[in-house]
Amino acid sequence: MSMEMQHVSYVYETGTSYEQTALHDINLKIEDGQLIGIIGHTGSGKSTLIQLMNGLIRASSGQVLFHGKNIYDPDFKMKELRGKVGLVFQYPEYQLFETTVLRDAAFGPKNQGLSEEEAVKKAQDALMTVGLTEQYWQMSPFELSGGQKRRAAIAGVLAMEPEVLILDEPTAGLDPRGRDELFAQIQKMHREKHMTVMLVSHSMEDVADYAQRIIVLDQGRILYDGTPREVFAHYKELEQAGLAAPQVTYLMHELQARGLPVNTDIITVEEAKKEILKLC
Amino acid sequence: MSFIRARKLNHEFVRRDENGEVKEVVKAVIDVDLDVEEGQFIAILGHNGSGKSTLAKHLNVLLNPTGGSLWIDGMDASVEENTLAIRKEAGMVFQNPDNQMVASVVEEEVAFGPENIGVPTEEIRERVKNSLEAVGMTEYRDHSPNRLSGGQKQRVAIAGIVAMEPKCIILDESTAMLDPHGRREVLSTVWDLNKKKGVTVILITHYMEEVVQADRVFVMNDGEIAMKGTPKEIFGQMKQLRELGLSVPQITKLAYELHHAGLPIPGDILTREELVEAICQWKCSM
Repeated sequence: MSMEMQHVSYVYETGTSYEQTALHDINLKIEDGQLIGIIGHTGSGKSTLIQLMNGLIRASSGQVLFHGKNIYDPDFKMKELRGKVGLVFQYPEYQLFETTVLRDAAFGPKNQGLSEEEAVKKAQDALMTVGLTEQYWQMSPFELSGGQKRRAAIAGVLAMEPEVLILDEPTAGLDPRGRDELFAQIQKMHREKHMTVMLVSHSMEDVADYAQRIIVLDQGRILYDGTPREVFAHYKELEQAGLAAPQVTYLMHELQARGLPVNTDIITVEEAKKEILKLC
Repeated sequence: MSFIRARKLNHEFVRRDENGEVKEVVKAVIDVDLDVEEGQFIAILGHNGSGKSTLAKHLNVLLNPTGGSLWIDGMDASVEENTLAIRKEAGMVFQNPDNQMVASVVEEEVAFGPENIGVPTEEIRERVKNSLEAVGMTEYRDHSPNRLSGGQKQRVAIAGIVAMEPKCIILDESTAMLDPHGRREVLSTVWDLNKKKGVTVILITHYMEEVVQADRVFVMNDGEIAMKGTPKEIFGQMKQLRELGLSVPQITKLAYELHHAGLPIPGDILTREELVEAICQWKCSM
């Protein structure tokens, strides 16, 4: 098992008048190789959760285990954890800074202590993985389009060859084609490299299409944790938590309410089409 | 004359090398003709880099056309004396709220705009209160904007514009960072302003669902307006939209697939209600 959280709570500004509990008693097990969607309203604790996972912030109470080891043990190597749990922030392209795309992607592995040659090799592999072929490597990151910049920034994290890749709203601001392409690449990486992928998303349609498991956060607590089908069955409760179900899920409920014999546990267009065609 | 009127509007970015020599000329907006009537709800779609934001930045004179002409509410945007007056009439909300926050308390943040244009103090209080209510951020009025999440910051930024009571609000992918609830809130807020106060809305978005109720949709591609029409006219052309890097709402996609599978369902459906009715007409009566 790659990651576990036991009774984790996180409080901001303890002891001041701004004290605010961001996470309450979180218990989670993340198995190797899963593709997990994390959803929750703004301020529900998603960003806090993912920052805890690579040790950027420290839990106020509780434990975080990586491969069974407590990451807060004095002899635990936090720097290694940060290489193994790669975190891609929102709008990561704002963090591109090097003179070429290749140098930018090589920055992480170089920082991990690899030789120039090794770091460049890893950067090249990572750039290929995100679909940025050799023609882009010597360009300035700022010459790339929005979607390409995003992928270049993700390559910078991938180059450190993390076991767990966490992406905070990776498709925010991308156009539909860019969104589809990036999700296809994330899926491919997940399949081919058996990487554990966690993605924070506000698009219910996207997590329904791509995730194997969905964790729903509401006001710092885990509201649901299950397959997309299980989670979106609670569409009314999700709305109360500031979320929604995919449009097709609502559609099936409305058709059923009109007396049509359809299943309502439908979460993708493809499934909805099959179910409606059964009416023929 | 229309509230917004652009004729052959062009914008070129000139890139220079270290010696100041022209390295490249990028045509971001090419020969755009645009007419928007006061009180309309307009949506602009287009892939990343299609020129949407560059065009939008002309509407409150953050950029000036390098060719062609633009009038806002009868004022020529290229005349410098009109700049401030146009900015008062056309408020812009950007994609990333972090770049828009200036004050240390939410209420002050919202008050910044009206203060700047000389609204009397008592009225500012009233406007700030109403604007925060409109975006659902009243309970955070005495918080620091820094401590808010991305979505909450965006709602504060919108409140700041609303407090200036402009004739036109331009939202440049302002919902890109919001959760479904936040998106619904922001959209219903701008729809409210549009319907009740007659505020003209220009919505730039990558969420196709947000566009289905708009009066008119413009689709940009490589700096030009590639398609324009009602949402039904636009989303009825799924193939062309795909070629332009866009998509259609999930419900439209399903209706299209059902239509092509031979069911008696129109292929240009936009909303759930329409699709439920179409399926019921086909099945419920049998």
